[in-house]
Amino acid sequence: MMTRCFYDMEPVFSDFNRLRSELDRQFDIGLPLANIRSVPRGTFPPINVQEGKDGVSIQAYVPGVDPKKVGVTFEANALTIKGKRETECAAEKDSPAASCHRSERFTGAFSRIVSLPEGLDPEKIEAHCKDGVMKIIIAKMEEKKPKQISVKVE
Amino acid sequence: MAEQKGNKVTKAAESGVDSRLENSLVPPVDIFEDTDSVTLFADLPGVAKDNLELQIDKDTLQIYAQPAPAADPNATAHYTEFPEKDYYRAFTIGEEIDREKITASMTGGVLKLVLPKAEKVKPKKIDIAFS
Repeated sequence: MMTRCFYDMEPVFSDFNRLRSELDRQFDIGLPLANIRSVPRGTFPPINVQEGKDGVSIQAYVPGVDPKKVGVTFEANALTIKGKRETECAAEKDSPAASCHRSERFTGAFSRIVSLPEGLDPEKIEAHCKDGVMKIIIAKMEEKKPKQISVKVE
Repeated sequence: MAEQKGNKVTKAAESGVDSRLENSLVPPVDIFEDTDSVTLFADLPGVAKDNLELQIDKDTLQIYAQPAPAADPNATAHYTEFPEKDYYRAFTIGEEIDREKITASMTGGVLKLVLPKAEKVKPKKIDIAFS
């Protein structure tokens, strides 16, 4: 609330705010995180999970990873995403003529486990990958879906 | 409130700071250099080729991209480790880069930019004539 008040006090703090946002951006390089309680910096891939009426939708941000080489398994309400990411920069490092100036992108093997709510149907899982974003949709079991009860008038 | 917001943008434009800078993500990059060119890779997950904007102005290379929304809008979010914001990052490039020959390609959410060096800065082999 305090920061909000100061933030609105333009133009006194505008230069200060610009400096602050600039610093925030510098520290955000690599993996931008939603908040401080989120996963440690450098965790790959970052994952978003939403729960709707019909099921759960998961997005894993895996740019530059061949979707065929990503293993997605669902067991005991936990979804595991496993794979390996090979970046071209890491490959080029071995050649003597090339020099690496920046290496911020994740490289190597990764594995992440996400625990999901109960009552999901392991038979109804769909996974798509487009532009480096893997979307996984898991439907809820029929008996776990919210039921509409019709009231009879007597 | 809207007025104030508009004010902020004009102020940013006046002071030369791009208004896109605010509330955007910094994509991680890999940059490596060999004798012929400088190659840049940037992770831009969720960005299709059409939503990417590359701009070179004098010595500044700007990358601006808008990802397609991936989250289910009707559902409640459990975890959000990756906020869905626009990507923006700018680099300063030197005189040795041939601006006319820069090529860009986008595959699987990764941008590859090849910045070839100008002929004059490439190392030259000098032939020694025996007499």
